[in-house]
Formats: sequence, structure tokens, C-alpha cells
Amino acid sequence: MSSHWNRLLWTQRPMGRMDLRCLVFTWAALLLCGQGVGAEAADRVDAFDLARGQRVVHVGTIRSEDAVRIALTTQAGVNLTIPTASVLEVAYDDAPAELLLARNQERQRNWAAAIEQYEAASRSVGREARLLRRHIEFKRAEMLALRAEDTDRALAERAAGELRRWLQENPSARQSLRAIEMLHRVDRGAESGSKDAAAMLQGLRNTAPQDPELNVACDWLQIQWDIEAAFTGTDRAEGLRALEPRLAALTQKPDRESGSLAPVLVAARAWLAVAVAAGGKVDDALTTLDQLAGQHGSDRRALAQVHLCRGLVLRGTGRPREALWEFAWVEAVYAEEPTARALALLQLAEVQRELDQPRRARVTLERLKSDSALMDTWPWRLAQRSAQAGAPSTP
Amino acid sequence: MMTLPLLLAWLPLWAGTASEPPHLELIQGLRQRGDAEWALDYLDFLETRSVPLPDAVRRDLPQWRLQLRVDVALAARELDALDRNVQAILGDLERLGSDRARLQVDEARLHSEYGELLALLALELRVPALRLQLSAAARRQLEAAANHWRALAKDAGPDQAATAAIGLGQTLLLQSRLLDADDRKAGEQWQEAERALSRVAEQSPPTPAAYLAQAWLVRAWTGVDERKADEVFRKLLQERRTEAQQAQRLARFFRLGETWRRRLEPGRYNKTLFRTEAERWLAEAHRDARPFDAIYLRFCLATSFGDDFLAQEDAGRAASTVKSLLDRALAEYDAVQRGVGPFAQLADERRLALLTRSGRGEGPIEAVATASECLLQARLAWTKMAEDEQRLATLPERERPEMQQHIRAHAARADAAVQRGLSLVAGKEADEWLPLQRLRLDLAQRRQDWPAAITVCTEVWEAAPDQALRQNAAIEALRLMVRLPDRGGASRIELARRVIQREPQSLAADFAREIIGLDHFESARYAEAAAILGEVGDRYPRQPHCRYFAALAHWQAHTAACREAERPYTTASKELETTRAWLPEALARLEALESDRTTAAAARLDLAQIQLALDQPAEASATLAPLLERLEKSDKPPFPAALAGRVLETALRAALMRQDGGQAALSVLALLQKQGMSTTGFDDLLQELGRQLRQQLEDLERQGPTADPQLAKLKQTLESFVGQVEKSPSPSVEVRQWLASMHLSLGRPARAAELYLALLAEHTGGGMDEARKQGLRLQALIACRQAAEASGGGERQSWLTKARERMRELVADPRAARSPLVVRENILLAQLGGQYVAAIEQWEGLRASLEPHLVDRPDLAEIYHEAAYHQFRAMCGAAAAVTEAEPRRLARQRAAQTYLLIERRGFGTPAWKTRFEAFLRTPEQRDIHEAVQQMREDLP
Repeated sequence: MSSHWNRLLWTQRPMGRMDLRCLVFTWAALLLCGQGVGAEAADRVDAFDLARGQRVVHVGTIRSEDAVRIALTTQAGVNLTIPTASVLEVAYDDAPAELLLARNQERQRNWAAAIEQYEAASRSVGREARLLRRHIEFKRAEMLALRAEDTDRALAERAAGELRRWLQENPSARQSLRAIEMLHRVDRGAESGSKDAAAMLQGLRNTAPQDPELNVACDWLQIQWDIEAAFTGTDRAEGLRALEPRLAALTQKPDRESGSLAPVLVAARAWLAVAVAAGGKVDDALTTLDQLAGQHGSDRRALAQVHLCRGLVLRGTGRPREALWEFAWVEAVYAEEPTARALALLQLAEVQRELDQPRRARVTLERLKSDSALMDTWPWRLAQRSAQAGAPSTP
Repeated sequence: MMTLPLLLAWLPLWAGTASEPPHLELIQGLRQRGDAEWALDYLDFLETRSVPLPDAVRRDLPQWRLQLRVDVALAARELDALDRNVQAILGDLERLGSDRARLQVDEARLHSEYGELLALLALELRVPALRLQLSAAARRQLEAAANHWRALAKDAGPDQAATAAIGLGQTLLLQSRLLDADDRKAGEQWQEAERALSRVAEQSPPTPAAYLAQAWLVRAWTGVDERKADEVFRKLLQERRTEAQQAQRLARFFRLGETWRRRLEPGRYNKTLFRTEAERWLAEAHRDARPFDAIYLRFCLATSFGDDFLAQEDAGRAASTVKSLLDRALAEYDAVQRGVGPFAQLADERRLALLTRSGRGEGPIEAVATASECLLQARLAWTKMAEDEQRLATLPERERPEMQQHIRAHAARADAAVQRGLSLVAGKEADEWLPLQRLRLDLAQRRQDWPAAITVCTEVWEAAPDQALRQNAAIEALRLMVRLPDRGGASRIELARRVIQREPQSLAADFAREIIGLDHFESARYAEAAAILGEVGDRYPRQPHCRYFAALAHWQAHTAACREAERPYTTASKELETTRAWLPEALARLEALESDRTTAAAARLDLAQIQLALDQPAEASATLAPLLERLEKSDKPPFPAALAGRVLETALRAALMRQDGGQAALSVLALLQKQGMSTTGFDDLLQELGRQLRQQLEDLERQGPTADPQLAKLKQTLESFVGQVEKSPSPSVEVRQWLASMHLSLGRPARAAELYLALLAEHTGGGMDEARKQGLRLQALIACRQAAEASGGGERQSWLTKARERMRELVADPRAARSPLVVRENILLAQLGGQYVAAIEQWEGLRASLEPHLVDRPDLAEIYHEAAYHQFRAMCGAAAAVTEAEPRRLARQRAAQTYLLIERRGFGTPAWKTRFEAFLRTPEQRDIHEAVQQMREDLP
């Protein structure tokens, strides 16, 4: 089973062709080795092991799953608890073929066809497959929201309704965070949308108030919304400055220094520097970012955040030439983190325009708009909306 | 083909430290995204940043820069530009100062890649002559590359042995491909290539270089032994190590290229398979180091679709599947065009050809829905128009009107498409906006509608997103304005001012400064001209020209100030200092340009003239020496004849002003004759020289007593020169005439008269036309009269007699009798004979007859002022001749009155004022002088 907010944290991209190939190879390997023979089920959980710095695949029977953890018994009979925060992808043993077809359509952004396939998959799944049914219902609502956002705004209300209903039925599911995120996105136009999403986020937090990982994930999602709001609002500096207390609170809890929360902490520290710089303490912000780069010199995702934030700080202090190269690092070298890369491209285009390089700016913006790996990020959506409005990409 | 692993091997992998990010990673990242130019900007940024770079980075910067420049060079859109880029890089390589082995690698790689690019291009060209030309150029490049690789292989250490072997192998392989298959040399080259590549490919454990060699072996065996080629290909593809991926992609590219090359051979080309594989390869193309591979493959793909479309019968082209072939072909050609590289032009041609054949360019323009389609239609109509215009020249007369009608229709269609395109285009940053404006400009220029063309340029200047474009548009607009009446007048200057205001640092602003500066210069606003021309920046290509005109403007301002203050030109001033500093500097830069030798010669001449005016004849002669040398060496003048004439005149004057310049002057005269100047030209030149010298003498006289030493020196030199010219054996009539005029200028009228009279005597019976004889008689008359004035007693009478004889001869022709000069001489003769009363009346009559014409004929003004002068002299003479006291007082009063009247009018010119005053100061006129003073005091 997958948790979409984890994907945001770790890869922030939909499942690609390579992922599918990995999946097929793993299953084939398992079958060839005979490990699956005689087992109860062969559910597959694809997660990111931070300690080892690589993806790991757990195969067995999923006993339960919620917003905090997935409980799985391996085929060797070992009980595992996998933090939902680290889960990248989940494949159920009893998934019907339509599910694969639906994923295929989803990758091609054929939302209508994907919805049809998910509906067909839903019809082929029995009532006993509770987790799978929940997942398919979520996917259907998610596809509807994506379709509303992408091509058909008239469906927005319906999509929001479906997401709300699903969240009421499943307040603490593996997919809840993603569902709340989608609700926030699809209901952007309606005033009630953001409030609903915020309320549901609080509801999710309340389901496990002592769980640090869930709390951090909820905080981080809230901060992401605020960052997006700062970039779409009329006063970006003010918006970023307002983030400082929340980011400071997030970074000051010692129990989050290690484990699956560490990457969020690094990103939050980098953004805290941006907020501090927006308050006028530019030197402090740059020092913090330099320290972060020194501490996490081998972590490419952390470096992406550092370069992006340094670019934002430099740009905000009237040093666009230096800012330009900071964004270039994220675009050309540390491109693993989709939201950071998309925002870097968006900023790059703006800086290039500012430096009287409109052709390069146009190419950069084209690159952002045409990269399928960035389509699930808010900077990409912002660029799309600006292009449709015929205005510069951000105020 | 040199690819990423090898490049990485050359560029030392610099590991980042805590304080420095891994710069190489960013450069490689940008390169792989096809942003080589941007990566070059990053290098500039690194070099200019305040934090010092680590030694390792600083050491490798030139190498990285070179690598990126190669990428940019090979991506040039036009072949000429590409060739220039490559040559420039090769030139820079020598200056880079890297070690010999690295230099060989760099040069070899450049030659090799350039050669391969040319070979690929030749493969796609459909004109046989061009194909041959490009193939030959490719062979030359590959030959050069092979030589470098061989040299490297000989000296290479173990680390470079593989690089050298692969380089040599690939180059030989490409060379053998360019020769005929049955050519013995092709076979030898192939075998050597195969040996070199196999040696590296068999390395164990395999290295990235080994994989690369295997890829090249796939190419080597393809077409020679397919089984072997398949075997190597399959083995390479089975490799799972990441180091092999680049080589695998390269091998796939080779296979695709080979399939395409053999597409006309039966059974060799499966178009569906080719297209699928090519699309797959292109989807991953951004991972490749060399951009032109992807461009070439895309071009092949487009041609594959396009050819397929053209192969359909006309009737079948309407089917939707066939239409989609056309759409795909157009889309791919479009992508090729957008990506830079020499295939862009070819793609453009093919795209237009496809559109023509498909009949898409025939529908009504109003129905076209997008700006990009409008652009296509406009270009199509433009192409058809150009073709018809070519055909028109060969058509018989009776068929021309119809063709001209076609041409007009195409032009109108192109115009309509452009207008519609501009109304549809989504903003000025859209891709189509600029090409549409370019076409609009071309159309306006074609119908010589200059105001419309200027409007286009101004619009582009005001709205173009790119600074370079804005700059070009501004320059074009200012250039086009020259074609308007009065060269655009005030509106051109106004536009120039706006350009400067908007982008003061741009080249266009410098161009505008030049325009405004020259306008000031032409309007004699020298201070303003000097100021604005002095602001032109060093990078402006015509900066030396501007500096030259600025120096001249400073000089003009200086001379004007000196004249006004009646000071010699040698008086120190800031303007003079600037002229002295700027003019030699501008001259040096102009001569270094070599593109405008005429201006350089003119600048040198101006410098010499200024040196002459500053009484530096030796420096002036030295300045002119190179020009004289060029004139002497060449049979025809190396610069325009008028300029050559001025150079010789100035050289002559400089020589004359020098104490030791007599011989130099003679050699200039000899040079004049050698230049083949016609007799008239030579004569004119001597006359002009005489006039200039007289002018110079007068100038010096006017400068007052401070210029006396200069005046004396000039006279002395002139006398010496005239003496030398007289000594020359058998001087021509013109030279003798010139000598006579010079004697006259130097105040030796008797000698001048002798020369004139001798000339007249020699030509009594004929040998000289009557008009010229009349001119000579007049000169003789003037000389005789002046000689009479200068002498006394019997000699005076003798000269007067001779003068009267000449007068009689002259007035025999009634037309000559009416000439003001002859009338003047007649009165002067009467005056000289003591007939003052008659002379006074005649002068009065002459002045009265000239007065109405003074406004229209400034040339008569001089005679008018002279008549006033002589009239006054006659009055003085008359007063002196009266013996009785009262009539004498009255005569003096009249003379003084006349003087004061003339004085009130300012004596006509400053020169005449000097003469009047000088005459009045002579001891003989003391009485008149006193009378004048008295009358001045009595006047209210």
C-alpha cells in the first residue's frame, strides 16, 4: 500500500516505467526462487530504507495499514512494521489486471480512461479484500480530482465531494494525507476547500497525536501549502516571513534529528533560512545554508534544498546573477527532488527574464511545463495557470 | 565519435571540498541538457567571482571552456559560421599553452567531429556538386585528425594510449567510408582501424574505453561482415554495467544510421522498425554529449515520413493516414529547425518543398487558424516568388507580363499571410513573432517602401525580447533611414537619441552616437560632435572611425578658436592636445582594420595636413611617406584618384615648407607624372598648389607678427624650390606657367612677366589654342602691370608698354573685353599712367555694375572689394597729384571720406581690411591717414 505524502518526501513522482520494470523483475525473481510457493499472499511493499540509503522491497501478507504504519508478515513468518512515511509503493497480491491497466492510463495522464479502469477494477474485487477496495476507491477519487484540476474544472465539486466522503469513511488510512492534499488542490477555488482540508488534516493528526512521524508529515504538508500561497500571493516576502515560527517549531524538536524524519528536517531548516532572510537577516540565513551544505555534503536531496533556498535568498536580496547559478545546480545536478527542481526552474525563468535573457527564460519554462516528472508539483501547476492566464509565471 | 566517458577522462574529475561545490558536475549537467552556451556563462561567472578558485579548478578552466566552445561551434546553424568557429578554436588552441599531447587530442577531436558532421551532411544533400564539395572538405578534416591521432599514439603514455587508438580507429573508419568500397586505400584504412579498435575492445576487465571501442567495431563490421557486426552488437547490449550504457547507445545510433544509409537497397530497410527505434533513441537523446547526433537522426526520421508521403499518388494524399505522415514529417523538420545545427537549413528547405507538393500552401489565408501556419504560408509564397523572379530573367518578352502577375500575386499572398500571422500571434515572445516581422521587413524592402521597413525595425526594437535582436533592429532602422529624403533628417537623429537613452551600453547606441556625431560634424557643431563621438565604446567595430572624426572635430574647434582670437594654430589648447592624442591612435586602429584602407589613408592625410598647419613639415612628410610609397609601388592609385591627388599636393606642400624639401618636392612632381595624370590634371594640380600656397601665405600674413618667422621661412623655401624647378631640364609648358605664377606669388612680377612673355612668343604662330593663349596673355598682362608698379623710371614705362600691348591683344576679342578681370586691368593701367580721375570714375562704374550680382555671385565680391581698394588708392594718387593747397585738402577729404565709408562696411573681408590698413600706414599716405583720423574725431 502506498502513502502519497511519503512519495512527496522521498521521490515526489508517480510510478515510472523503471518502477514497473523493478516490480516485474522482483516478482519474477520471487517466483523463480520458489519463495512465493505455498505462501498465504505476496503483497509487496516498496519502501525507502534511510539507514541503507536505498529502496527495499518487503513481500508477505499485509495485516493492517494506517496513516502511521503498515504491519506485514513476511513469507518467512517474520512480523514487520514499516513506517508509512517511508513507503513508496504498495502492490496487493490479489490486485486484478484492470489495476495495472489503470496505472498505465494514469502514467499517460489519461484521467478519464484511468477512472474507467479503476471502476472496472472495483467491480472485479470482492468485498473481503478490504484494503484493496479502499485503495481503488481512493484512486478513483484521486483521478477525478486530477481530471478536474487538469482539464475539466466543472468536475471539481464532484471530485471534492468524493474525496470528502472517502476521508470521512477512512480518517486514518495510508492514503489519507494524499487525499487531504488532493482535496486542498481541487477545492482551491472554493473558500471552503482550504478550510476543509485544514480541518481534515487536524483530524488526521488527532488519530495518532503521539506519533512524531505523522505529526511531522502533517506539519510539512501545511507548510508546503503556505509556501505555495506565499509564491502565489501578492507579497511573497511577507508570506515567507510569516512561515518562520512554524518552521522554527518544526526544526527545534530533538527527536526528529534522525530516522525517517531527517530529510524533512533538512528541508525545513533550509526553508527556515529563507523565512529568516525575508525578515532581513540575510547573513544569518546564508550561514545556516552553508552549514547545512557542509553537514549534508553527500545527500543530493538535501543539497537540492540548500541550493534552491540559497537561490531564493540571493534573489530576494537583489543578487539575481548569483541566484541564477544556485537554481541551475538544482536543475542540472541535484534534480532528484521534483518539487525543488520545479520551483528552481520557475525561479530560473524569472531570473533569466530579469537579466534580459527572455529566450532562455522561455526555454526554461518550456522545460518545466513539458517534464512529466514535474507534473505533480505545485510550481508546475503554477506555471500552467500563469501560461493559461497569459501573465508572467508569478507575481 | 568522441563521447562522454572519454571526455570525462580528459576533464579531470575534480572532487568538491567542503567550501566548493563540484563545478564540473554543473558544467556536465548543463552540457547534457544542450546548454553549452549557458555552461560557458558559468565559466565566466566562476572567473569573475570574488572568492578565489581552487588551483585545480583554475588550471582546468581553459580546457572546459574549449570543450564547451567545441559543442557550441558544431551546433552553428550555417556551414560558414561553423567553419569560422572551428578555425577560431583551432587558432585559440595554439594559444592555450597546454601540453603537446593534450593539444593533439583536442585538435584531433575537433577535426574528427567536424569531419564526421560534414560527411553526414554530404550524405543528405541532393545536389551532386555540393555533395562532392562537402565530402572533400570532410576528407581533409579527417586526414588532419588522423595525423594528430597517429602523433599522439606515438608519444602517448599508457593513460592516453586507448584514447589515441580509439580516435585513430574511428577517424580511419570514417575516412574509408568516404572512399569507394573497391578503393584499395579504403581497404587499408579499414584494416588499420579494425586493428586499433580491437586492441582496446579486448581489454580485460573491460573499461569504458573498451566498450566505446566495441561500439565502433559494430560500425566497422556493419556492411562488411553482418554476422560479426551482430555478434559484437549483441555482446555489447548484454553488458549490464552502467559504464557500458554510453557505448550501447552509440552502437544503436550506428545501427540506425547504417539502416538509414542503406534505405534504398532492397530488403535492408524496415521503415516501421527504423522509426520505432529512432524514436526510442531520441527519447533518451538528452543523455548524449553530442547534440548533432540527435539532430541528424531526427532529420532522418522526418525525411523518412516525408518521403513516404511524397511516394503516395496525388489522389491518395487526402487520406487521413497519409496526412498524418505529412504532419509527422513537418513536426520533425520543425524540431530540427529549432535545434541549432547545420541540418536546420536543410530541414527548412525540405519542409517548404513538402508543403508545396502537398498543396497546403494554396488555401485562403483568412482560413488559416494559427500564427505558425501563417508563417509557413508566408514563407512558401516568398519562396515561390523568388523562384518565379529567377525564371523571369530567362523568359521571352511576351511571356513576362503573366509571370510578373504571378510574382505580384505571391508577394500579395505573403504579405496577407504575414499580416494575419501577426494578428494571431500570441504575444511578442512567441516563436513566430520575429520570423513574421523579418518577412514583413523583407517584403517592405522588396517594394522599396522604406517608411514601412523602418516601422518594422522600430517595432522590433521596441518589443523584441532579446537584447541582440533589439540592437540589430535599431541599427537596421537607422541604416534604412538613410534612404529617406534628407537621410531621415531630424527623425533619424531623434531615433538615434532614443536608442542611446534606452540602451546606452549597447552597440546600437554606439551606432546612434556615430550618426549624431557626424550630423553635428556636418553642421559644423564641432564641440558637440567631438563630445558624442568620444563616448563611443571600444567594442564598437567602427570605434576607430568615430575616434578619427572626434579628433577632426577637436581640431576644427581649435582652429576656429584660433582664427577668432587671431592666434597661430600652434597656440596650446585642450582641443589641440586631444587631437594630437586621438588622431594617431585612431590612425593606428584604422590601419589595423585593413577593411577600410581608404579611410585609413584619409586619416593619415588629415594627420599630415594638421602637422603642416602646426608648422611640422618634417613630421607631415614622415606621416605621408607610407602613402607615397604605396603610390610609387603600384601602377594604379591604391586609393581613389581624388584622394591620391590630395596626398600628392600635401606631400608637395610639406616638402616645400621644409628647408631641405626641394628634392623631395621634385620627386613628388615626378610621382605625379608617373601616376599618369593628364596634362590638364597636372596643370590643375600645379594651379591648385599655387593657390594653396598663396592661401597659406595670406593665412600667415593674417596671423599677424607672431607668424612672421613662419612666413619668412615659407617664402625662403618656396624660392629655393622654385629655383630648383627652374633648373630642371626642358620643363613643360605647364611647369613654366606654374613657375611664373609662383614668382608672382613670391613678389617677383618681373621674372613672372618674362616667363609669360617668353611662352607667348614661342607660341605666336600656333601650337596652342586661342583660349589658352588668352589666359596666358591675361597672366602676362597682370605680371607686366605688377612689374611696372614695382619699378620706376624707364623700366616702368617699358613694362607699361608691354602691358598695354597685351591689353590690345586681349580686347581684340569682344568677349574678353567684358571680362571683369580685363576691365580691372584696364583701369589699373590707366591709374598707373596717372589718369586718376578717369580711373576713379571707372572703378565707381565697375562697382556699380557688380553690386546687383553680389548676392548671387560670391565670386564677384572679391573683384568688388578689390575695385573699392583700387578706387581708394586712385583717390589717394589724385590727391597727391594736386599741387594747390585747397583743392589738395579737398581731395584728401574725399579720399578720407571714402575710406571711412568702406571701413563702415568692414572692408568686405578681413583680408581686405589688412590691405587697406597696411596701405594707409605707408609713409606716402601720411596726409590721408591724418585726414582720416581727423574726420573720425569730428564725426559724432
